Amino acid sequence: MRVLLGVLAALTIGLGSAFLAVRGGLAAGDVTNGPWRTNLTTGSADADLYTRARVSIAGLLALAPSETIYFTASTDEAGAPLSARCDYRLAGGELPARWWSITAYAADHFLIPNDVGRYSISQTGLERAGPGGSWVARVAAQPSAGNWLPSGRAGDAGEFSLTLRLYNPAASVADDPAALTLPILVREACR
Amino acid sequence: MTRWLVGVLLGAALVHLAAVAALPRLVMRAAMARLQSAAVNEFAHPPLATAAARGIVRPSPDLAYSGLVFDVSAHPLAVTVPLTPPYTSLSGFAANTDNFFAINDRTASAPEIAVIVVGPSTPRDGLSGARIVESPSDRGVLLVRRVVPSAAAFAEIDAVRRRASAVQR
Repeated sequence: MRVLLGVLAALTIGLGSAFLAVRGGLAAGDVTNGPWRTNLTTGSADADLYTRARVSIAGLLALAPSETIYFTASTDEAGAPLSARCDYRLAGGELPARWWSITAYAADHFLIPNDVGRYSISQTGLERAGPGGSWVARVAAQPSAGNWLPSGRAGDAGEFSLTLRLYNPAASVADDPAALTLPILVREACR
Repeated sequence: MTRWLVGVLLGAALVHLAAVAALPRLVMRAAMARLQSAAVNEFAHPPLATAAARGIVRPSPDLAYSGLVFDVSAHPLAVTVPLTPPYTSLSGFAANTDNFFAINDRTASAPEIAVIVVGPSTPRDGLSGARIVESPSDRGVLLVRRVVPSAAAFAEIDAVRRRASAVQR
């Protein structure tokens, strides 16, 4: 009986802690930059056990950083989780890569259903605000004029995250991802 | 009691490590099963990802993907991928999820990406040259990514991507 209990306890603690370790929190090699987080070992043979496991859940078939660097934000600048109940101002400029995009994902890591079939904003599709290539977008479930990235349908309340992809990033990105100027993500109104 | 506790904790640590280590291979195996809408060693060209796409997590809606589950245990696989602007890449993923190579339209030395994929068991008779890429596993996934800069550009990119070929040597 004691042995059986012991095996059950070991399985429960082992699997439970594995689940928690893979689900979230900072892992070895994570770099943060404002609300954005990246891991330069993603997809590479240098990835440790935990990075590999986390990538298999939240970023399977991700490219190694020499080809693409992925930054993900699941909170705003103040550290509050992103929610479809709130509107966000996402603003930035040119980014040091051949091509970039920012995509919104639901908590299940798939694209968010919305009424206009728009899931991302990108270098090629944005309206620019200024001569330096600066741009401002609204991330919200409510329709918005200008650059609008839907976080759901009006009335949705789910949590979501954004992934910024830098294709063929400049060497400076991998050298010091924490020093890069990335788009800011500020919460405005909530319902 | 102390011995029992130590035993439980050691057991839990082993289960924890085994679960974390096994997860990528299990997820990759499931993904390969889902990707295999075409035959092994044959490209599939899914439509652009929408909210209805539930195959692979965090797809990019701006990319036209072409995917192939490879098995090079018996023969090398010769792969050619025509290029489309503004960005095309071919990358390989081993059974443990590692991205073992990536070539894009800038690093390709020809007007198309051309490689020969081999694995640990692939017979190498007469194979040589710079185009060989070694996969750490005999089975895995090849993925082509093409940036689709606007909805209007998709039809032309879609026509070109269907000319990708994979031939057993």
